[in-house]
Amino acid sequence: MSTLKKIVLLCLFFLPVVLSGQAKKPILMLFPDDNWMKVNGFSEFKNIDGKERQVNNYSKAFQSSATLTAVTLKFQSIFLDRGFQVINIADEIKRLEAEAANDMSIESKSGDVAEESTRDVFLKRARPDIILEYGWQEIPSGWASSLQLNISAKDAYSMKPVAAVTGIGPSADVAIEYKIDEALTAQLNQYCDQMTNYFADIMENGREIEVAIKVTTGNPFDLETEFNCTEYQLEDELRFILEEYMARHTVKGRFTSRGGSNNGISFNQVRIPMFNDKGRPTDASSFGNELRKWLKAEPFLADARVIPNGLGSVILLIGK
Amino acid sequence: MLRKGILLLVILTFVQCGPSKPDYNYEHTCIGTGENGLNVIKVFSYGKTVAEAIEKSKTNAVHAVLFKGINCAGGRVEPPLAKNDDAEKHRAYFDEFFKTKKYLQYVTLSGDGSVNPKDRIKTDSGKYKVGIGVVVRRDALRKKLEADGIIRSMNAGF
Repeated sequence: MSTLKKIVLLCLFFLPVVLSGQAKKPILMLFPDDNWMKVNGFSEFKNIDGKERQVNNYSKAFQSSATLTAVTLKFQSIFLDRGFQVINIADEIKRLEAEAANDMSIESKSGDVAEESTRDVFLKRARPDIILEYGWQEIPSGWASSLQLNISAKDAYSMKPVAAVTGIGPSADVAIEYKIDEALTAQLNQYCDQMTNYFADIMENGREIEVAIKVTTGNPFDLETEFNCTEYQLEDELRFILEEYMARHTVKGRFTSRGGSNNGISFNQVRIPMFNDKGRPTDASSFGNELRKWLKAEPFLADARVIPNGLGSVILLIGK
Repeated sequence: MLRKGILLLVILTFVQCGPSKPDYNYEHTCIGTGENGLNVIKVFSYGKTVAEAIEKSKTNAVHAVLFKGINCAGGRVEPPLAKNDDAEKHRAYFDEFFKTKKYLQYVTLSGDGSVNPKDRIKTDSGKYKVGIGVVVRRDALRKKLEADGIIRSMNAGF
């Protein structure tokens, strides 16, 4: 085979790798924060499961506030420039409303449009890495007013804060869009620096999730039943074997066992790899599913069910 | 004897006219928020002449954006682009960056470059301390360093 042919073949071989490397981008989802929604009258409090909860009407907010749209677009352009895939909730609302299949997801039992559940639907569909929330308020001072801008980012998996900045801009008698633009420009580098540090951490130490394992009462064994796990050369109670599994399947063996009983154990600060061996993003559900498959095999032969609880939390229910 | 004198004079002339080494002895403060992607800084630098101090201000402004960060009003901090370990790990890159004056692509004097008389001080050692506004194209500089693999981009690893 000629050298040229070899080179061409080599290029063709590596092309998909290069392309897939370029295609992956962290996903960022933008939401106006709860306080802004409340202050501007786009939310109401409803009694859900006996608790008073704030329910935000994002559709109404984007339809009514041109400033909100302008600010959201500004954020979108900033983070697109930084190499993120940005999901604008306004576009997502339109897409969701166009899909009749989602009607049942966005309608609450009373028939009202329950936007809080819309948010959950967004998160499940888009699987963002980061949720960015922002809000602002004008503080009057004499003839002019200054503007306080709050931006915060949360890990969509663990809901832990990733970055947060707040700042009050100088007092001026100009349109609010200018003030927001100025405040955003002023805070942006500090904010991006915090996010860069966070991403560096999860790339090195893995994504953080929570895993709970429960055993139903009718199951023939519980977490204190002893098994001989030849794979790990370990003969011990199931809960200790599960701890060994966690240690072997987490990044740098990082997790915290929160203890438990004979029919339940939970692990938090479980650091899972960002991507699986096929290069696809992992989440709590996929981690739980791997554990389910492992428990289905010898010596446990367990029937288990994976119950996802958001992107960053999963319950594995052993038994029927 | 005369020949030795001439030789000494020539050497001294070259020492005087040659490029002065950056000493990074400067003070800096945030002037205000510029357009997106810019840092506008007031830098006080030292030089044997006013012109030399002004020229050093450009080097020092880029140095500040890269390694020191900028303190702004209200306790806000513009973080440095390069972390400590980046600076150590890529020392040769940064030495070359300043030596070959590549940094000049990312820095300009603010306004017409004139110095306010209050910001031009002759020190006891005979040097000038000059304060001048400098604009650093922070975003362009960041992108250059990210592309060269010197600093980590926000989406690195994804």
